[in-house]
Amino acid sequence: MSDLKASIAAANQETVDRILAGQPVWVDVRPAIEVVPGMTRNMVLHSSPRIEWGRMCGPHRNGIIGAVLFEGLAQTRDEAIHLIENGDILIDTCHNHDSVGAGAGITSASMPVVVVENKTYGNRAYCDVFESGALQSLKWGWYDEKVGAHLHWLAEVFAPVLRAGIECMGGLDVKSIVAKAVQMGDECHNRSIAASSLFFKDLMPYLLRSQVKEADLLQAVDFLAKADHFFLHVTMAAAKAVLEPAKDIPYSTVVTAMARNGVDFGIQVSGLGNEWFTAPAGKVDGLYFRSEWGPGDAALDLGDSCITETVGLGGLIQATAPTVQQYVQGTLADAIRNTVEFREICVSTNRELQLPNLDFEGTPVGIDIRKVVQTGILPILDTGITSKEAGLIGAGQARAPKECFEKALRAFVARYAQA
Amino acid sequence: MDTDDKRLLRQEIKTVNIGLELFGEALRQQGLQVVQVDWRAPADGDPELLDILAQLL
Amino acid sequence: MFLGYEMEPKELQAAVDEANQKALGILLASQPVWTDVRQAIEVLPGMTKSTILHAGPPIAWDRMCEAQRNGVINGILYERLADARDEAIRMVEEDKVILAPCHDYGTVGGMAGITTASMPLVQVRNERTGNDGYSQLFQGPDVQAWRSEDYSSAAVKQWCYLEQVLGPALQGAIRLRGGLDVKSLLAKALQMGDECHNRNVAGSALLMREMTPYLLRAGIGRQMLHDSIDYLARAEQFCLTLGMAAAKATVEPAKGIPYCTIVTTMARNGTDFGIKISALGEAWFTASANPVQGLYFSSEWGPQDAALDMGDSAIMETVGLGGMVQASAPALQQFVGGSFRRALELTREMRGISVGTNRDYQLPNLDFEGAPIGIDARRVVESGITPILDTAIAHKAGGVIGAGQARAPLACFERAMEAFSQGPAGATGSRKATPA
Repeated sequence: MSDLKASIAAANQETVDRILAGQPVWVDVRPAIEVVPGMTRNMVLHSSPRIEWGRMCGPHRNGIIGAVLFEGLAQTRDEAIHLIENGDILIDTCHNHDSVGAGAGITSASMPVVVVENKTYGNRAYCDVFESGALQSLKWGWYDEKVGAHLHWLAEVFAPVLRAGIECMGGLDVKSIVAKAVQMGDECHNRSIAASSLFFKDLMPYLLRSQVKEADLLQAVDFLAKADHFFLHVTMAAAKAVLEPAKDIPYSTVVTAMARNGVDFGIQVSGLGNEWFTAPAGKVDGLYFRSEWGPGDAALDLGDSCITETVGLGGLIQATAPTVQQYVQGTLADAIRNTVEFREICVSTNRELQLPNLDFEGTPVGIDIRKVVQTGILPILDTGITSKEAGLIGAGQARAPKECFEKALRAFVARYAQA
Repeated sequence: MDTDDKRLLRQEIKTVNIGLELFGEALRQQGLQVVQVDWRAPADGDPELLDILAQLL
Repeated sequence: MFLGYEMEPKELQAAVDEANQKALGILLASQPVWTDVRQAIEVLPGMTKSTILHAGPPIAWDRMCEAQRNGVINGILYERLADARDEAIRMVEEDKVILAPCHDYGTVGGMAGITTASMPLVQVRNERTGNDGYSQLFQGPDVQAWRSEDYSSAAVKQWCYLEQVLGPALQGAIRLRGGLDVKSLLAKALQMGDECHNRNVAGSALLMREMTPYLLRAGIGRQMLHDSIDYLARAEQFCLTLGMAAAKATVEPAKGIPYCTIVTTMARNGTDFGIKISALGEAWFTASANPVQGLYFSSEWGPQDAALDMGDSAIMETVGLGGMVQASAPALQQFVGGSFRRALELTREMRGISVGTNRDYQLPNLDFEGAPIGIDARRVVESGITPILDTAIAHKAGGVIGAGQARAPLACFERAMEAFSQGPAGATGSRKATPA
């Protein structure tokens, strides 16, 4: 084996070791302005990669306008757009601020975020608190009076209650919930009902003992009792937190981020630092929630939520969640085959997350760009389908585009190989 | 040698088909057991990428 | 074989098939709703202050296994019918208490299944047919298999807790909620890795989400609220209580259909395994209970410590859940050194002895096929394939020490079909057990 190949192998092993050594603990809930690095009163974050205002898809544009209105920075849509076009609103990606955001990923100063600390390395990552199960929510670019009122309730009533519960608990070990959830039919991206239910059960004894007003407690419990997808946002922050220390390892060909903004799909690679390798985002294949909706209404793939696939959850472990196959009329055999295939493009397996349907083998972890290009096996992302303008209209799956991996590979050889 | 060839064709033939599924289907229709191997050309046969991969993998 | 009937074999066959379809229809149409929590003495017909109910078919005191005997003694102490173990034992020997199966009083009990007058039971109403099924809240004390005296006081303390704290709390909450659809709860749980007998962690977590908003509003005191929430947060098997009561409410209307060979009850008391089939009403057909194959929760225990198969929880398999749908819960294969493939195969095997499919309970690991339902005693005898039960392992003296699986004994089904073959005269609807 050449020196280069040996260096890559060693770097990849270290990358995966760091990911697996991560101990993500949910420690706090705070308004973004208090904890997200670099957050300012006039800033709105969105899902990656970066994109100019003029190129943004509907959900991102409408979501950012909605955030500006929510923060009271403008009173009307026209005012908001004016501020944005003038550069008075700072627009950046969640990823650039140690954060991730589901859907359009719209995060602004007053919005509450979950704080997850990777206890092994001390770094923290953030994700917006689950907003709502409604199809019309800011997460999907929809803003109106009702959404605004709910966002205020989340920030002023729900988040403080949640914070008190987490504090009383002394933090929540995210991995232990995920490890159980993947044995209960969750792949932890499109399906988190087990994780959310286990979290609810674990939280309740502590929530009752925390010093919160009874009326607020009742509202918070009612909300959580119905929130099937609540835990996704915690899983996402945890994924970001465990991937961060695995970045910037020289010679590593392991993917450390995947994200899309409805226009572009981007990946980051450990040995290539902060650079994003982008290609056009793809279509999402799946089912629409109403018969009047179809592919013609859909935005392209969007969201930071494929940070879950990046650590070997979601579409990478469909074998554990045949329920998710229903969106693409797949069978369990399809799901198992897909998951088994992903072992070919991953460096290792995570023995802490075991899949009953594969006789308790670990989840695949550490997507290697070399293997992706060589085999042509592209990561599957389980994901929602967003409307071109705003709102969630369906669910299904998409593949990461091969061009991203090819671009990254070329950049890698340019940096590391002898001429 | 002649005899060996004839013996081979009289035995039960099990086949592995790599590549175009059409060939495997034709055999199946004649009642033969066929295992289809999911094979793709590495890097889709792209010479530049193959060259890069040769250095890295 | 069907000599007792004044019919041609083909005619009888047709009558059996038709009767079985009728029973299947009744089982499928069941709409179990959790409506209330009530004390046994208030709701079980014929219950008295000195009746001690137990799991499984009827059994004489001198044949009862140690775990059930301990349970009976503890029950007597709990009801304050006696002050000490010796006194309690004397009461039994002098026939001062009535010992009877839970099943024959409209309720079901897990493990030893001890049910006494003051104990709170969940009430699940079959809204389609109007009948109620009951099940105890008690799944076994947290402490496993102590020495007799310590176990007694631990058991009694747990029962007091259920009577004074959890029972009233849940009663307040479920009344406020106005009922809970048990079928849709179990259907969701089946898609989350539960098979609803040995594995109920999903169902119990879902239940907590359903009930907490009402517990908070039920006007129970702070301490009671905290205690109840703490219990539910720990009690991973809690959902089984509802599942069992729902199953009981489901099978009752399917009893007593002439010519019907569908199994309406399976239950064990740690000594005998007993079944009932529809055409033969309340008659029990028994054989020796089998040992349970599985894993022990601690290395200090092994097969030499284990009681035989015990509990009314086999009512879950009777309605097509638990061991009948192992494909839903591959996580349980670890307890029996099995595999995912084995789980799928076993479920297919169970389909072979069942007459129908329940579209309300879809199994993701079988590409959403419905669960098998309606065990046909005829098919069991013809094929020699008996129902497989997922079940806990009890310590000989009481308490849960492991989990695994057991087969229902073929002899029960053979005896039932033999009685069936005697003709309509065999269908006496008698409550007596046939000799083992």
